Amino acid sequence: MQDDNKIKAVISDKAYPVPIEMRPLWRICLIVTSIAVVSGDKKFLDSKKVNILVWMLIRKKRWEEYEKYLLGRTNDIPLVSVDTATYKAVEFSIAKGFVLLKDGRVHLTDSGQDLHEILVKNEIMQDEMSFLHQVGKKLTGNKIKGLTGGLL
Amino acid sequence: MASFIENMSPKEWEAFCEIMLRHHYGAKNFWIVPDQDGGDLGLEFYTIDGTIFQCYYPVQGVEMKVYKQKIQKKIREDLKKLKDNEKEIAKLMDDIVVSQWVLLTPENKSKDLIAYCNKKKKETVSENISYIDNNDFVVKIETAKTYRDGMLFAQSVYSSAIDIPLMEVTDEDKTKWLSGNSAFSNNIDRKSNSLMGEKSKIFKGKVIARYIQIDKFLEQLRDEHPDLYELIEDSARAQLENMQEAWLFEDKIDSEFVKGVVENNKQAFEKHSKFMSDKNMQSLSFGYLSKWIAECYMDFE
Repeated sequence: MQDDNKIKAVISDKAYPVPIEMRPLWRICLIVTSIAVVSGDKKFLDSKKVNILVWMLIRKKRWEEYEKYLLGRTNDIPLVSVDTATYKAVEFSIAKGFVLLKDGRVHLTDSGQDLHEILVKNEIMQDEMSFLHQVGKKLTGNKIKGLTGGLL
Repeated sequence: MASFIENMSPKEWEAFCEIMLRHHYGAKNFWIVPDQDGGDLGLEFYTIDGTIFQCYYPVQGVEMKVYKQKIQKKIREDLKKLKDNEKEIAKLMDDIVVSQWVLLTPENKSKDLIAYCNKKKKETVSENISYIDNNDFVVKIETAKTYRDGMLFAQSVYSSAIDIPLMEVTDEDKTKWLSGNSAFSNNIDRKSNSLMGEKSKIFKGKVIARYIQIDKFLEQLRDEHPDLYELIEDSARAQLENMQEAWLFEDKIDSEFVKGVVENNKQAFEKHSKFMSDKNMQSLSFGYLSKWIAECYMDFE
């Protein structure tokens, strides 16, 4: 061992890496894209549907499992739990004018639509959009009830 | 709302309520209505004293108006089922006369909901349902605090619900990790020598094993319980910040210092012990020390 007097502890204050799914802008884009792709012309989705879609989108390795459930190929219910980061991201999205919250529904604004178009044009989140196109509409009220125990 | 309840999913809330009420009333006096065969008739649980329970965990982060609408909708729709399913429910109740219908929710945020319950009570009584005591019938919103003994019991049972199996790290796993993580490996090597002298080899092996283990553990925690993961990470960051100053008061930087860090970590993570198993909790103290050493958040010069 070195001489105790010659070593000192140095605690770094370097930044912690923030996982991509925890970055607000990423999650805002997922919210906007979920509404744009899944709601069609209505341009709004129930807030619990938005929460579940975002939960699914950030868990790419489980997409097959979600797909099977949403397409009715299995009775096994995938785990979906509370993720307050999505609530916060909805609040950020409202503050930035990308969405509006009305009657428990999240409505896409023109700015939100523009943001979605930027993502499409720049080929960002293509896998996520493909997942949403494929199974997003299959997340019906009954499926939500199954995932949440009918308690949401 | 108790902090323990804040991060539950609706399913977890229902499971929590079942444990809480079963304990409060005792198994002999408590029934759960299964929903896998044609639904639950709008009843979650009922008890010998004539109480019907429904659980409800409202979506968080909505404005008050929407919150109230959601609670009212739940009450309205479920009370309607008492009449719609009168004959079938009467068969379940047998001789029990229902005098109370309770919506169990994490908190009641509005007095308007009490008034709404009273209004719905009168409407339900006017339906003259055979198994309801029209003279004493009440509709109420209750929280877990009403059943304090059951709540404390359910908390202790439920806290073991998060129990992520810890990876058994073999020598082969360590070798594989070392070959793919030379920078981290060098950090551990250098710091182990500084800190532990002749014990550095054993210490290094332990740090590597714990690093691999906590890395997998945190990955799974982040995936399945993101809110808890964030709480743990916040505590770890706060702990590291505390140490930036605390080490100044250390006389020696040696194995005792390491022991102190592990002990302090244990105390820092203790507040999360209600959410996870003891085994998972124990993995955090040395696990984070290993992370800090490997990822250079803690260095020695």
